[in-house]
Amino acid sequence: MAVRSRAPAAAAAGLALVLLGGVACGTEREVTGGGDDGPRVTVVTLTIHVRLQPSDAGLASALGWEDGVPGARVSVLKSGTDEWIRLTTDAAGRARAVDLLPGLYRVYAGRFLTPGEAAAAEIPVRSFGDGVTTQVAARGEPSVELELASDSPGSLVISEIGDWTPPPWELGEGSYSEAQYFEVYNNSERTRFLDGMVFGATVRGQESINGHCAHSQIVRADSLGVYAFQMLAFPGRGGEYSITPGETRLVAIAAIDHTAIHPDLPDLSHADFEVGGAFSADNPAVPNMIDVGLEPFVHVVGLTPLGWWKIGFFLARPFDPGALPIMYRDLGGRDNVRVSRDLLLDVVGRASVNARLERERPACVPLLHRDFDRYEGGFLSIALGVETPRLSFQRRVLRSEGGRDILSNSNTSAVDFVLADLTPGVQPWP
Amino acid sequence: MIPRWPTVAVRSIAVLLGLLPLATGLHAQGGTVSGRVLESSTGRPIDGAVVSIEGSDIAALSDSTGAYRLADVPPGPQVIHVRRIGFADLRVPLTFAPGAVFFRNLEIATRAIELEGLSVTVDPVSRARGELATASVIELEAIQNQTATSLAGILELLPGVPLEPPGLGGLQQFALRSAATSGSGGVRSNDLASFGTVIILDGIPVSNNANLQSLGSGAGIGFTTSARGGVDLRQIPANTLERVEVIRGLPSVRYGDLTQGAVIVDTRAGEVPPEVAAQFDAQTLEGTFLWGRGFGGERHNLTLSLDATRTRMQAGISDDQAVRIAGQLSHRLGLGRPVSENAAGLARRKLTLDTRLDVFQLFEDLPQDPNIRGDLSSKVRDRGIRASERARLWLGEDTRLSFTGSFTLFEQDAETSGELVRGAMPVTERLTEGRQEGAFVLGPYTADVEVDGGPRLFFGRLELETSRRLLGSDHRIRVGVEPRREWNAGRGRFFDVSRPPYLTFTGVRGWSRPRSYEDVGDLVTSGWYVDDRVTVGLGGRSTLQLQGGLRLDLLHRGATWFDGVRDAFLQPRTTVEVAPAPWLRLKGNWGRVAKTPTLNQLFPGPDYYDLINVNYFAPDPAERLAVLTTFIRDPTNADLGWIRATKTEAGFEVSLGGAEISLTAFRDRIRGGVGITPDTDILLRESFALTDSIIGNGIKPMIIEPATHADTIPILIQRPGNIVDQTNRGIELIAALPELRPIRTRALITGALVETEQIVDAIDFGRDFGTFQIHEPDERHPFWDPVTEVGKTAMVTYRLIHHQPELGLVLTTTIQHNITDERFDAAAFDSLAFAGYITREGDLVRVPEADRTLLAYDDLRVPRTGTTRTRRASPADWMLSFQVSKTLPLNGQVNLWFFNAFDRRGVVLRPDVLPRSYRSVRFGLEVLLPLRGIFPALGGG
Repeated sequence: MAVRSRAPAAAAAGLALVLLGGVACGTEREVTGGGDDGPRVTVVTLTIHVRLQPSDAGLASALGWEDGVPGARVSVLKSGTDEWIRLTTDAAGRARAVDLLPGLYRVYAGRFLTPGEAAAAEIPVRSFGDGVTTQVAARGEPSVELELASDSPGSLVISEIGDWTPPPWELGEGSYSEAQYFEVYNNSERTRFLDGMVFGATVRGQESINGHCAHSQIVRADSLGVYAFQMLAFPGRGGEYSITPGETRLVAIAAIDHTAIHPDLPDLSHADFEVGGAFSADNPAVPNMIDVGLEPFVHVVGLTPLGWWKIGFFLARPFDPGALPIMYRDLGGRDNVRVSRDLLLDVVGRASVNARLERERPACVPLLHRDFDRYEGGFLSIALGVETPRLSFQRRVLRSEGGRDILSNSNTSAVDFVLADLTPGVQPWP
Repeated sequence: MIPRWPTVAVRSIAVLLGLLPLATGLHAQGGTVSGRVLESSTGRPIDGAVVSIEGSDIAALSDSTGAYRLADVPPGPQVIHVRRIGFADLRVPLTFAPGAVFFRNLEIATRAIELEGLSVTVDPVSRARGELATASVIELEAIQNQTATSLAGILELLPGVPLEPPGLGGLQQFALRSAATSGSGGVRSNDLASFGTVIILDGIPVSNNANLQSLGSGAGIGFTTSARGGVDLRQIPANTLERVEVIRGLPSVRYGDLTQGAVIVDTRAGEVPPEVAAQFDAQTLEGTFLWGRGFGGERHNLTLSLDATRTRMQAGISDDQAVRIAGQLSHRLGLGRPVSENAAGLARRKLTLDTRLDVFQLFEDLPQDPNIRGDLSSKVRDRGIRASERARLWLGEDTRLSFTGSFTLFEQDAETSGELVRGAMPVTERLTEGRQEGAFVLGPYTADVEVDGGPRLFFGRLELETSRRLLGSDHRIRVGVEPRREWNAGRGRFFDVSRPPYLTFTGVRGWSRPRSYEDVGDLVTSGWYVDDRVTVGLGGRSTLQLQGGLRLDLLHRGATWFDGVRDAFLQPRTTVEVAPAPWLRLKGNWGRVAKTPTLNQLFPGPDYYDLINVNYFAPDPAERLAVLTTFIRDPTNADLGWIRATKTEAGFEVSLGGAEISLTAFRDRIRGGVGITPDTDILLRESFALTDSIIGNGIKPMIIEPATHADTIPILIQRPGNIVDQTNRGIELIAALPELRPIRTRALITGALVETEQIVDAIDFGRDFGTFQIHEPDERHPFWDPVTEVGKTAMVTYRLIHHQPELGLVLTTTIQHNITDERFDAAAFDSLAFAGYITREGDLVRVPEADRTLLAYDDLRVPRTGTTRTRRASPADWMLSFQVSKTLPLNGQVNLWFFNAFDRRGVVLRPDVLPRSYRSVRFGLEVLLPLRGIFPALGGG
């Protein structure tokens, strides 16, 4: 590809600036595709400045990060593609993504303190995260400011969502979603009871024939709560199912040993709870979750929302969805209730990027309001192909305190979560 | 708004019919043509050539000077046909005015491509024999020039038919005059259309009515089967065909069991010089042998054809292949004294017996890929024998009694195997209604299915045909009766119920168990018809031809024609053609046709519903318990009857300055096509408490009677019904332009614009009905009235034919332009579109339109699902193929062809764009070689 500046002088100046390691202004250039007569496109440099949010000014001071967060990992993705640019901020908290075509970009940054940094600042190991979707224009000096939020352990958190299935050529025709599961972890310092708590899936954020982003925009961007129609309640009447600090509870769609079906599928016979369904096996040794949604959690053909990407999940204090008013009906005709923010214990967003799917069915932005996920939906910097590795969506371990793990909870799913080998029913991936 | 222009056609016909009484008093004076039959390269006179007017009994033999003479030729467009053993057939179109006298020398050659005026495409103005309706006739020289492996490849010459490379890969079913729709109503428009195009092979219908080679819906494994559509044309080799007549308009009453048109196929018979043909390309290898000769003082004639073809569907990638072996032995015997019925003195025997024996087998193997665990595999074995006898007895100069009897025996065996995956799910093998303990299926498991079918067809026809002069006009009258019986003598469909081939065998949706075909009844019909064709002069050079008839089709109840009538349908049919001048013909037709339901629609198997009462999957297998209650529902519809259609057509044909143009507008309205009526019913589901339900005690629990809870599950019984209305309308164009002499090139343009509207008149419960069934808190579920599915296609094919007879060279360039292919559902999709609701008790409650906004129906105001809201259309696209044909020494011929030469393929992945994908570039070679050139001792056939 030939690069041609508007004028030789400008090119020389630009080159000099690049060699000096900084592009402060005049960052757009014209690139031709076939010599001087080829088509010309403008490329720009996006400057990303990463710092802690103003409310963490004291923390920034303790860490010496008043000007910006050094060493933060920055990921930049052009919407509709699966090509990620990965950067690390400099000492001033800045990173530059060069040769970007104008367009919509998803940018997020995360930072984990090293034990040494934490010790020097005399604070525990912390995590920080933030993200934004920004329009990069062809003119001017595009830049974006990210204000990282620091983590807070919270109470009960969703710690793992597993939906892996072997490819059809290893398993056979038909969908197999019964080996899906999720885990709830007690990230707090005191024992809690799961009785009556509600796990659910939020409105999907995907453009499709029967659902347009514009239609669901108002509910996805609602700061008053999340909207859902598929929900499960934990059994018990108040004091039956405890979970102590550092403990995990595994909830399986079918609590059976799935290795009988495929050796790489998990053995979920030891699950703490089982979703069951109209047709799948019911393990009487495992208590059943109660389907309290407006639609079945397990669809008649076996699909569950645990298998969807571009969707949010929440854990909430006990409530009766049937007593809530219908607040939203999606284009598929499904009624949703709003789970108000004061009920919510944890909300995570899970989205992946696949260039082809993005073109056909773009993800909706935001997937969740920024109050629930600072990166508007937790886009992970992965590209899922046909043959996915045996991975699950897991919350990172941040540190260990008193023999128990504290999980990252920076309210930025893309930072807090990672894809790692399936670990149903054991401590999350360190 | 869709234009209703076809009503114009109806009015035109009415006007034309109104002219008839004015014309009946005039007798059309016949024309005469004479000349000499000569060899094209030497000018040598050829004696013994049969010169005839195609589709008539007018014929003559050329004498030793090559002279011939044909008299009393009816006015209108005619085709002079010249046949001589050792030479290619010659057809010369000629339009006769009343009393016209022509002198024509007819030059013939050993290879058709050495003849001037070679036609390698369809003729815009030709007619099927004995038929007046719009037709496309494909002659031997066009068949030989077309690189086709089966009849489907020959039919690509028709307007609006997309091009495919030759080979046996995939089903080859043919649909006349219809465009694909979304299929939202569960019936693809091609299902009806392809069922409704009747295929007649050597006078015998080729039927697919008794094909039961199907696993039904919801199967996770399968095999290639034509059970749902029309005849799989792969069973008819192209190289053994003599002539194909496609009646696109209204066939005469002589043809039944159709809703669209008819394809009349004649295989090569009579005196045929021994010839071999071979075709090669990267996927397909085909060899054909033909030989026919007379003996016994010309009283006997025996013809043999053999064809062996193999196609490797994914050569170099997998071992998938299809193999066809087909053969035919035909024998003609003339008995009695020769009868001379024309002035030329051409001999004709009092009784002619045509005996044919066809055999074919089509094997398709999709072996398992060893690199893929549990990969789907299938093996299909279709074999058939067709024996027929056609007798023609002349009762006088102008009266003939014909009898046709045939018996067709198919053996269809299919096996398929594949690995399916299910969770631990209760199943039962119960074959009667009731409750029993079941087992747990724990996927993945290998599902194996064997389907053993044996379609049988008896077909007979007795017909009296006579020519009479009545009321001052020439009439050709046919009266006939057509008994027909079809059944399936196969063993049935077999699989292990504990390892079913279905992915959706949830208890609330009925599914099939293994089935013996002994309980499948017979399809017995009879057709009675009378037909008259009259030719009259209108004065001056104008003529009028009229063909009208009445057909009564009876669908009988039992196994014989004496068991009562289940349904009857009377079908008047009229075709009229007016030629105000020799160069112009106006044509139109109106009539009714009918098609029987298939055996599978008349006798669908029972559906089984297995409701789960206990689902106790303890960790210890010894403690597990599944209890299920089986319900059986019979979806048979005793009222199922004829699929009825009304065909209307109007058009004109022009022959001017060597150009021939045919433009036809049509409207086919099918009523009572067979679709699925979802009849509502409820099943009672009981739940029970268990004894010994302590985990780890090693004891299997038992249910405690009575049930602790019971609820109703609404179900939909999939009952066939005459509920599909389909309207096909469009315009067809065939234009043959005159040869541009300086470049020895002529062009043929065929095009079709077709629009299909289809309504499956059944309540639509949407895609989420299954969720309602299992979700007990939902008290009701909305339903919608049917949508109108619409499909539109427009396609033009340009053929440029460069022909140098002296070199025996033909270059054919084909450009196909897909202008549009569009489909959408026309209906309301908004939240007020619902028509009513179904309760958990299975009651259907309609909600008046005015009440749908009431708060009480808020839960029903949801958008409808399961329909295609988005208008999907393919982008305009084109492709180019070409072919070089050249004579070889020893009177051979070679065809070198390139399909989709520029490898034009369009694949677009967007919800509103239909993918269009031509098959990728392919090229191959075909060689035709008369053995007489190599082995002169073989003589003249």
